[in-house]
Amino acid sequence: MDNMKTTMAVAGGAMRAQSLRIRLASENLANAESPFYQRRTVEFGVTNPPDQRETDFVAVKKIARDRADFSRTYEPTNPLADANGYVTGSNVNSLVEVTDAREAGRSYEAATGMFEQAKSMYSRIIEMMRS
Amino acid sequence: MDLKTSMALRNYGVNPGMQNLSQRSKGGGIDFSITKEAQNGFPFKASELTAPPKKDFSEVMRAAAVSALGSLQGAEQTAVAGVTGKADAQSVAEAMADAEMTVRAVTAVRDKVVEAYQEILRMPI
Repeated sequence: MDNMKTTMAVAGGAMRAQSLRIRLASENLANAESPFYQRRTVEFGVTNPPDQRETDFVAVKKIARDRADFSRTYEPTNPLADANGYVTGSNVNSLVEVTDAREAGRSYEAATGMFEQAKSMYSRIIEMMRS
Repeated sequence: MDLKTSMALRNYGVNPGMQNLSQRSKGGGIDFSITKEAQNGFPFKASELTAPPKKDFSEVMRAAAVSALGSLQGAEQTAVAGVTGKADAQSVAEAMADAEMTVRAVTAVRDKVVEAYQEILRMPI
C-alpha cells in the first residue's frame, strides 16, 4: 500500500481511538452522580493489521473499570443514606475526566494535522505529475 | 510516446524519504536512499501503469480508469454508511481523501498521456 495512504489510515485510526476516549470521559462525567458507578478507563496499544504487518497502528486494547473506592459523603437526611448516614457515590473525579477530554482533543488535533500533512504532500506530488 | 510516458512515470516513482513518514516514530534516522518500494511507490496500481511496453495506450488508460472507479465506489459506499450511521466520520474522511487523490492522480496522468498523443498527431509528416 502507498505510504501516504497508510499515513492517512494510521492517522484515522488514532482519531478513532481518541474519539472512543472522549466518549468514555463523557460517560464518566455524565455518571459522576450515579451511586456505585465505577469509571471506565481505556488502554491503547500497538496493532499490526494482517494486511500491513510492518505498520504500527494504534488500537484500543482494553476498556476496564476503575476499582478505586467510591466517594462517601455524610448526608443522614438523604433517602439513599446507609445506617451510618453515609451516601455512596461514584468514583469519578470530574477534574480528571475534563483533563482527559482535553487531552483526547489535543491528540485528535495532532492526528488530523498529520492527516492533512499527508494529504497536502500527496497533492503536491500530483501537482508535479500535472505540470 | 512510449519513451516520454515511461520517463514521466518513472519520475513519479522516485519519492525518497516518504516511506519513512508513517514509521518515523520508531526512531532512527530517515533513510533517503531510493528503495525498491519507493520506485514502485506510484499512487495507483503500479503494475498496470509501469507495465512492459507491449501494453498499448488504451489498455493503460482502461487500467487507470478502473482503478479510479474502484476507489470512487469505495468512497461512495463508505459515505453512505457514514450518513446512515454505520461508519464513523474518520472512515468517511479517509475514503474520501483516498478517492480524491486517486482521481486527481489518474486525471493528471491522463492529461499527460493525451498531451503526448496530441504532440505526435501534430508532428509534420
